[in-house]
Amino acid sequence: MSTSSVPNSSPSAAERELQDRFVRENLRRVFALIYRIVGNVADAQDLTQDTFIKALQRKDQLKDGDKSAQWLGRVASNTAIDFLRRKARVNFTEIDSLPEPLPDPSERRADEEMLRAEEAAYLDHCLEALSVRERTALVLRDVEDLPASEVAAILGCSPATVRSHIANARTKFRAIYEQRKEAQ
Amino acid sequence: MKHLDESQIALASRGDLSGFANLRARLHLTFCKTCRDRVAEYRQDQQRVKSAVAAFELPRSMKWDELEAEMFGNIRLGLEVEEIHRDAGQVSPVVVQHEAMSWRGLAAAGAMTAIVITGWFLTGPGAQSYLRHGPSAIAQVRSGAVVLRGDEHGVGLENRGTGLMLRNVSAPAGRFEVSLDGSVRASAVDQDSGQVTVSQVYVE
Ligand SMILES: [Zn+2]
Repeated sequence: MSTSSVPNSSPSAAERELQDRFVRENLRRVFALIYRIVGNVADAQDLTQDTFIKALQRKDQLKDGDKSAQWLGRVASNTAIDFLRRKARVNFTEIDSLPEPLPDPSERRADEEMLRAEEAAYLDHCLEALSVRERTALVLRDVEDLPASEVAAILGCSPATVRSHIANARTKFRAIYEQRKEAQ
Repeated sequence: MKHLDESQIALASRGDLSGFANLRARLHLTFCKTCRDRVAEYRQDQQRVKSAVAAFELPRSMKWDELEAEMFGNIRLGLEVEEIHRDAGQVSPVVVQHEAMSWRGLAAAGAMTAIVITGWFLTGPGAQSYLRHGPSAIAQVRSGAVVLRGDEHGVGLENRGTGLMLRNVSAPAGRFEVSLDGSVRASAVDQDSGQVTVSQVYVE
């Protein structure tokens, strides 16, 4: 096969391969994070795509593997929370007055108990019992490992408020998790 | 001895208490096994939360592999749209801010592109003639009997007497790309709407 091409300013094949690898390595994690925050697949898909497109244009941020993965988590969280803010057209502190986005009960409940491990289903149940801001704070702190001060900055609230969200989220999760153990 | 309350335990489990409360909790934990055990349970919860988030479940009608492939393709497309916008000198730092073309719009345009390709391929003698006699190719790939080419009007494919041509209707193609895996791609930006059309043809 012979090939000819005109020059343009697109990234080199090597750059493109790096980009593709970066996406492959992080796509599932970023989607999972955003899905947990916004609670539905269609929005999570759009926001995941937007996150990578934003991130991949910042080549300077992508050099160090671990650091860039964590930075990507921040971009993803910010993208998801900006979206919730815009959607709500209220401050994040008022987002809890919105209907809870998780889960899509009609689609997810029917036979999920059969389809998946009971433990996993119960963990989902524990997370879903949290308010949006509690769950978001918990995910950013305990899954993305962001410091509490940074979680506060992303959520646009004070460090004291964010500590209260995190504490409430952890104690609620704990209490609901324990309920099941007692029921068994 | 007064134990730490539930919030303090929850926060102490990851060092999230501040200032004096943090010092007091650490001191208490050094000599209180009861509270240390409670902290350990919260640390286990953190692992549980991590695994619950990682093992998200999609609605039953959806498959992760398909969603992943779709997102992968859209990200690639989105990046190319950004590059084209930059090449065209438009100020458009990220596609999400470009409301004229939403993701759903892009996805719909992608679907239409696929349909157009199929239609032309089935009824394409005109395309074949165009490929033979039209403007000279800017980029071309030949693989056996199959020729892929791109010129100022779009991208096309000719295969054993049948051809297809996918034209960029709104604007001359701004960029061409021909790859060794047998694809030709042309992209164009409509100067008025800023809409980007990406046409792509593969040899299977
Ligand atoms: Zn104690």
